[in-house]
Amino acid sequence: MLEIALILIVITSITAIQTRYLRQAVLYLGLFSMAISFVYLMYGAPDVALAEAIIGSTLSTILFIVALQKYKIYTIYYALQADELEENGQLSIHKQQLIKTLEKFCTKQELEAQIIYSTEPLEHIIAQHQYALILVEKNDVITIYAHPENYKFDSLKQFLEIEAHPRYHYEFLKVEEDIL
Amino acid sequence: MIGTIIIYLGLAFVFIGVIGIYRFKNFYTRALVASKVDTVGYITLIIGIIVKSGLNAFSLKVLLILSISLLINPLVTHSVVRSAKISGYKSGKE
Amino acid sequence: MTAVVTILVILTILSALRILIGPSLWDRMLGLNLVTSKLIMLIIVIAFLQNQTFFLDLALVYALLSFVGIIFIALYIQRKGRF
Repeated sequence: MLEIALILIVITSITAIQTRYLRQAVLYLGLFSMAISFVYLMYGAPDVALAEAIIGSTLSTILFIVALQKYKIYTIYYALQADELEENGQLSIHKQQLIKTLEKFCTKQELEAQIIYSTEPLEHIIAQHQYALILVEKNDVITIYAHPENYKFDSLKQFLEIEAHPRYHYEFLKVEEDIL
Repeated sequence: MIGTIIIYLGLAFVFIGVIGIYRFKNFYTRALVASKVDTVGYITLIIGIIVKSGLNAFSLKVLLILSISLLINPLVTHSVVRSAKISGYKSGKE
Repeated sequence: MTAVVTILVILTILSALRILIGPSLWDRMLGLNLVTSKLIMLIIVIAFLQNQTFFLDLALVYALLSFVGIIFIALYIQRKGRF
């Protein structure tokens, strides 16, 4: 029984190091501190377990989250039709590959990608939400709308010219302030 | 004897909740099933422990933990699902 | 009664697997909540078996603090990185 908890500790610590998203690493560390606190309890040290539970699950989580605020987040909206989501919530292979390419770009530029699938119309997204990029797909042409203050846009253009997609073509547009 | 039966009943409820988080493909359904069934199992198991130990300082403390968790468990689930809804997370149909 | 502890440990491991494989971030938060609640049950049962009351303090601290942690993460995701 104790051995299972020890194996869980090894698995969670390796996963927390290997994951690509820092927000998920914080959650893995929460599970890690839960498990190690249980191990302390089983070894007969409840006072150490109490301190580990307080520090590990609350204080370090809050400190990590506050530190993550300094890390930039790149919000990408993907405008879909309502019936385009297939069963199990999975997208088709081509769309998954497109998203993988964008995530690779964000990792290279030291940004954290946050991808949101939306069924709202384009004007509504532009008016209502905070965004960096909006992707709209029509007849194998992906139109990429960028925010007026998006200073990574030129490097994104260069990156996408090198990493061409087998099916889609790209078209770049900058949103003017007048549309708002 | 009665206490043991109630404890195993609570374990059965918790087991159903764990099946639920693997059985359903939609996130919102998963959240509903897991939180509700889990809370019921929690109450049943703690009542079994109280029946087994009788009325003393131990069972009073367990009752305090039960009342706190009863307040906190739905709040946490509500907060997580609200965060998913506002962020625009879409899941498959069920 | 030792069988109860074994079953609860197996259920805890199954819930922890949801954190490791969960497709989205919110699945992982849900799994963390489930693991915490099962761990509290486990600690209560162990305290009953060994007849030690001070184990319950640990369960109380778990219940109160995991609440703060998960609410904090959920709020952070909901406001997209701004408090």
